[in-house]
Amino acid sequence: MSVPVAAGAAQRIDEIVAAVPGVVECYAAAPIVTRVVQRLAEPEGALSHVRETGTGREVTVSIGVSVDDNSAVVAAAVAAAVVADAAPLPVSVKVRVSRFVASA
Amino acid sequence: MEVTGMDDDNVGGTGYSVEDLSAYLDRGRTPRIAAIESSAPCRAVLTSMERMAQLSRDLVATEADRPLAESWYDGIMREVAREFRAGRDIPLAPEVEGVELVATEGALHELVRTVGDAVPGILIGRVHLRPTEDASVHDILVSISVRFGRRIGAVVHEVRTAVRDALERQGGLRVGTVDVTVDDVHVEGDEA
Repeated sequence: MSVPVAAGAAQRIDEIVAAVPGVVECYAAAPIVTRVVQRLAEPEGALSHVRETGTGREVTVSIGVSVDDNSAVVAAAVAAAVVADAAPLPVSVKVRVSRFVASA
Repeated sequence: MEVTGMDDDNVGGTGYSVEDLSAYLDRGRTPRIAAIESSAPCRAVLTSMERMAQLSRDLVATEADRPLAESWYDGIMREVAREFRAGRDIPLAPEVEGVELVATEGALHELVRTVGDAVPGILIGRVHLRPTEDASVHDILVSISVRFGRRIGAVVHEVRTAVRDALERQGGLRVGTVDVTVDDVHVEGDEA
């Protein structure tokens, strides 16, 4: 059983993720059904999907990276930033690379 | 820009169709629709539409004697809408201590299409990632259109190398075969 956390926590994670070098864009990370409900309640809500479980926090983020970058390296840096922010609380992180964005 | 004949009426689970996205682009993406702007598949389709719009403008500017056929445009956009659905999560690295790093199938389609289109004289048609028995290895199938006059063997080699290099630069992704099928030839004015 898990429950959503306060919107402020998710928005804070949005800011942390966006600040990681190599992250070009951020996208909504929640499952589609959840997004539909969230959109009704808060159209401009946080993009990160954050839930509290009995053992800690579960975070899912969705990012876009440049086609010129190594997405695994960028994703690992994102995960490290999220874990560091949550410390010492236990957190599991899923970083989903959802787009490769062409350089301008 | 008019898009006809699309059957995808729910891009990225947003409830917006390809036609809706085309209209949104035509309006200059205003007023801003958060559901579209926060959806990776929608953003990918919008990027492709912008690129195709630029292609159309270039053709008009150069008064090409072979204008871009609407059916060709529709066909490409249909492929883009299909490919950019998120699809499966494909691991970029082994899961370690509660950290999972993945790329969506749709993102990898976009990567292949982007690096392929960057090869001079090439337009990418279809992209398909086919899993192999080894879960970390994917075979890649790409169809391309080649500019008239280019040596097909050399072009195919360039596309194959670009696709393999781009994918194998992404952490633990491994590429098996890269099958490139030339299914069309175009004249210079058809390129973006």
